[in-house]
Amino acid sequence: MTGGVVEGPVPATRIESPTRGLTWTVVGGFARRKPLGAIGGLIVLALVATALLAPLISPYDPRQIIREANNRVPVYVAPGSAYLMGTDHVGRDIVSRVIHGARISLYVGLGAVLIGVTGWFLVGLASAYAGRLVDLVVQRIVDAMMAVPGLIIVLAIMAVLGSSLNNVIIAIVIGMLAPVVRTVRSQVLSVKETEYVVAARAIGARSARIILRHIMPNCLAIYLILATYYLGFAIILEASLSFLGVGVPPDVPSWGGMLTAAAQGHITKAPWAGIFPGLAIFIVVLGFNLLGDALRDVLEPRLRGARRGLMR
Amino acid sequence: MGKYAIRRTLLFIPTLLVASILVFTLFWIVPGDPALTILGGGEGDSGAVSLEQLQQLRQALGLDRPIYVQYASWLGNVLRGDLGTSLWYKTPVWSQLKDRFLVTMELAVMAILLAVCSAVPLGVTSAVKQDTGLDYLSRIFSSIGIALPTFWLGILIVYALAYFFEWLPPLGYATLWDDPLLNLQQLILPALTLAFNDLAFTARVTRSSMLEVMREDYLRTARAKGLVELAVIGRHALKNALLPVMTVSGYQFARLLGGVIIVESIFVVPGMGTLLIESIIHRDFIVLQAIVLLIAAVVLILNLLIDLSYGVLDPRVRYQ
Amino acid sequence: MTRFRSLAALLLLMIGVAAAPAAAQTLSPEGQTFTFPWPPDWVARGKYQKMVLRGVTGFNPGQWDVHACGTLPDCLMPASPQFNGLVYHNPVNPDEIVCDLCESWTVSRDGKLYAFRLRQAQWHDGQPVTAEDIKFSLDRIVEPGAIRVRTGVLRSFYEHQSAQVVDARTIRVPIKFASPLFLQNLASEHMKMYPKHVAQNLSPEDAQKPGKLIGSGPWKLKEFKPNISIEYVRNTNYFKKGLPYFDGMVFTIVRDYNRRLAALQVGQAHTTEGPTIGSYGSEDPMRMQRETKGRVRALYIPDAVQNYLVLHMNKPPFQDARVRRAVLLAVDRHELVKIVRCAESFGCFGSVGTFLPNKGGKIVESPEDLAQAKGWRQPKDADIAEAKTLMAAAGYANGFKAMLSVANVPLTVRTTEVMAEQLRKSLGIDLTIEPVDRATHVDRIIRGTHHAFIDSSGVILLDPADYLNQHFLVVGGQKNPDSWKHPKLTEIMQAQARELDPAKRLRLLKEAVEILRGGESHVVPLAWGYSGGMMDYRLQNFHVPGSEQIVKHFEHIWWDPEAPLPRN
Repeated sequence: MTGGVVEGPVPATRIESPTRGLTWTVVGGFARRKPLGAIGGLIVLALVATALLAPLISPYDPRQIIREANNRVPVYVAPGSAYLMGTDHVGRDIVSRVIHGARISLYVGLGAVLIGVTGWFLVGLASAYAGRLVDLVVQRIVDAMMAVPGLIIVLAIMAVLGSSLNNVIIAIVIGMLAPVVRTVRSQVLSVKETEYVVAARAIGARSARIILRHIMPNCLAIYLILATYYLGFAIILEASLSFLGVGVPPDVPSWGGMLTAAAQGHITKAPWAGIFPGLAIFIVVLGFNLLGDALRDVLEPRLRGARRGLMR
Repeated sequence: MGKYAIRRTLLFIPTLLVASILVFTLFWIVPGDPALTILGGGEGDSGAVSLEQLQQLRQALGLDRPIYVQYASWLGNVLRGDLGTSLWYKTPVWSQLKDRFLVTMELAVMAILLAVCSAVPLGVTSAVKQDTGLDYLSRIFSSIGIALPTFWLGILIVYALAYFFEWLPPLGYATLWDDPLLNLQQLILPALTLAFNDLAFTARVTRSSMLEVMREDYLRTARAKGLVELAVIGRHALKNALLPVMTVSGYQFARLLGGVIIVESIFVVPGMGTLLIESIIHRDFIVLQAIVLLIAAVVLILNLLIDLSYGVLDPRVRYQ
Repeated sequence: MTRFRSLAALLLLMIGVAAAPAAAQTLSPEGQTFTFPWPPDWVARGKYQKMVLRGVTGFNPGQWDVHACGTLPDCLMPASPQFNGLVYHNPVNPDEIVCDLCESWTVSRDGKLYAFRLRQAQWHDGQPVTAEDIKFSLDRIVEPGAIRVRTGVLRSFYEHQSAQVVDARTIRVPIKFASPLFLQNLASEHMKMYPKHVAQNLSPEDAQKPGKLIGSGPWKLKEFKPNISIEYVRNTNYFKKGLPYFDGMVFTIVRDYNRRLAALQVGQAHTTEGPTIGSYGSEDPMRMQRETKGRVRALYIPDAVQNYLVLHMNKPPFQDARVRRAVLLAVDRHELVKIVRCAESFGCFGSVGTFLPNKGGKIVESPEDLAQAKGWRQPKDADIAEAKTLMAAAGYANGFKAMLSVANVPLTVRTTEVMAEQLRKSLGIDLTIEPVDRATHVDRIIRGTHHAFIDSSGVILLDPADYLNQHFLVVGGQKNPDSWKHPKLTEIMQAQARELDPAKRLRLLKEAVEILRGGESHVVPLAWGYSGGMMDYRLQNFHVPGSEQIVKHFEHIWWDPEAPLPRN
């Protein structure tokens, strides 16, 4: 982490220790002070691990219809010894689909955040720092996009581009434009007006130096917090898109798609088909939110002069 | 401040214009047009429509004109106060829209009230008793609210009601003034479902805002003066902490309108959300444009009011 | 007295002379007459109840003129209860065509002239139903240049304005050629009779608005509240005395499938829309029946809707007939039905995809035929081997990737998933499935943007030829986008439409199936599905028809509060 930001959990006497020890102590200190955040972190780690190891740990191919010995296809079989989470409406193993779903969720979440949060972050930054005209135009676009129900925009995009994973990411990224730009812009503006920056300008510091010394570190904190939240948000948005019928193809094992397929039939006949992917979404998003919460608790006091709080 | 308000109000017009052009263009690009939905077959019933018939209907509906002509004609009508006739229902758009609009607004307002009334105490308690068991509980609760997709919660509620209580809100909608009891019965569940999600956000914001305010110097002064903690919170902290909450609630309202769409279809509420879905499925872009205009206007007015009131209530804030 | 008798005799003579020209024009005595006296025996058993029938529906009607529209749930179903046809399917014996507005009909010996005698009936505004109205309606149906999605088929039988009004209650309808299908088509729910004095003043757009067209039927449209409900009120002046048996009907519009099921489960509704329709074609009605211990009765129309794959021939890979044939051979239809249409402890709600529907008592493809037909026979090893050879010959030994579009209907999407997995496993064809809403789907079909699409269509006529008409009669439309034609098939279709000998006709249809099984056409049948629905057990006298497109009047059912709970 850049100097000047992290002061909290690390006591002053430890500054001379080697870097690795420093990192672990930071992590350990963080875990001790913010146990909820630590749980969140563990969940995220579990997600990443599952996603990376998916082909190794999943018992079946997630798109494969299981055909048992006597040509029987296990449709809607309850969870048991043969299939830990049961099977779905066409006889595919749910455990395998949930595991591979972790890949998809991570892919969608990371994609949306890396492109969306980064991209719109820069736009918000530019809008706050560039001239009046740029700001005005950007604000009008943001206003218009916030005024139009995001649903329409997203549905239209999916209808035009077609249902695929990458198009879902594009749709989510566009849906994120307004809130991210608006939040970043307001944060940067308030930082811009704080005493430090005013003072710095008063003593003649150049804009670039102001940005680097004062604004960027705060922005990093904002970015991290936004990133963790929007990772969860992207996963839920993907589920909602599937519910509205414009998500990824149905045989692709996305959690949202699985949830939708379960909700479209009569949900009592095989509750496990919806419960497990629903639980997966829930735990993962919870994890990201807890982590984001804890990060903000640790980092927010550093956000000097952010009067309005991190509004989302 | 008056100048600011006027300037912001004037900016409505280009924003609305941009929004309407955006939606019009989007639906031009999206495959399928109203002629297809009218003639082309519904569920389980693949139509046998021929290209000539489609062309014929397109001409009758004016769909074969170039897009800018269609937009200009629509805009011209709107400026004269005529929102047009629904391509699917063949009835004037305004007659449907005004009833539905009231229903959706009622639902949204109920949801926001429920959310704020429960979120603020939750957030304040959580902040005052930071890092205690109560704080953890409330933070987990609010995290649950964010992590649970709205549609899933709605489906679970309907399922639970039907299976465990054998009761569902009655079908067929009644307005608030016709039959308030029935109306509340029908709206309470969708409002709660929506509120759950909103509650989580609002509680979180209240908490963080409260925490921030509690660290302020003037509170330290008040405590040093010997004021009891409750008075410190109630008299000084709360007032300032609630400002961001109000602002967020305003933005949340706009987001709520998105969740309303899903909740309305699960709970059979005849509001604008279901009309929106219908008009997308039917490619009834005349109704769609009207809905977008209406929602955009509401959101813009709301944002303006919030920004203005924020300026009034917090003298430290300067305007751009 | 004698003077009176001679006066009477003179009067009779005069009547006889006046009638003589009419008598001279009567049809040849060898023509067949079919009479349908009213009331039939079940009418007396019906119990009128002072109650409103409550139903649920998932659809919002946009058109109310059944002559012009072609869709079932959002046009035909809501509009139908207000009107009568000239003939219709007997609601208590739906395979039979009986008189609706008519009292009897006579067919000439050469089968080219139908004479209908009308009942004493009146429109909802009190005006009497006359032969002029019938002529007007028939002409309106075949009106040249008007949009007639479903009813346009009548144009091949009836020439515009060729009907003759004999008197106020008699009309003669000549048809272009003798056909067993004319009456079948005329009995369709789309061929409704409208009042001339009302309909002639309505523009096509106005006619689509609710309440503009009035009918003679058992129900009057009371109010349509978009997205809320459709309300009907009893026609107290209905010409079928004693009917209908309720004061009114209310169909609440509920878009969500689970919510509709729940509404029936807790008793908020007595019946589903239709009351049978494809979306309930699974074990869910049976499950409801079980869970409510018989209070909700499950209804099914077996094999009412067909799911099929259509391959676009305007570009590779399906441009190559060998590839099309390979796909036809490789699909494992038995497994498909087992997975998608069967449920443990409930049974199966579909059957293997024959080409033609076995309806109206005519079986063109029997189970024995299927057991031996390539592509249908089990086990599939031989067929898959042949398919692989064909793919290799066409240059796709390792398969290929293609885009498949499907409408967003859950049961159809499931069928698609299973079919896609089968093709991937056996032939290496990797299909990307894109479920979309109806409008996008139809647009893609017409533009041919994808390589293939899955669609479903319901049985309309209770006749195997219905399939041929739907898929191969209209060339270059929604069902046959790449205008596939086979000269022998066209010949057979025309011949069977005129063939009056049932045995010969069946042979012609079997020939047609042989051609289609060659796998060259754009259609690959997958499975037939049931159409389902639910009704409260106290609703009596509903008899499941052979197609979800008929019996839509709700005029013959009544509520019996003392009906015994059926044993499961």
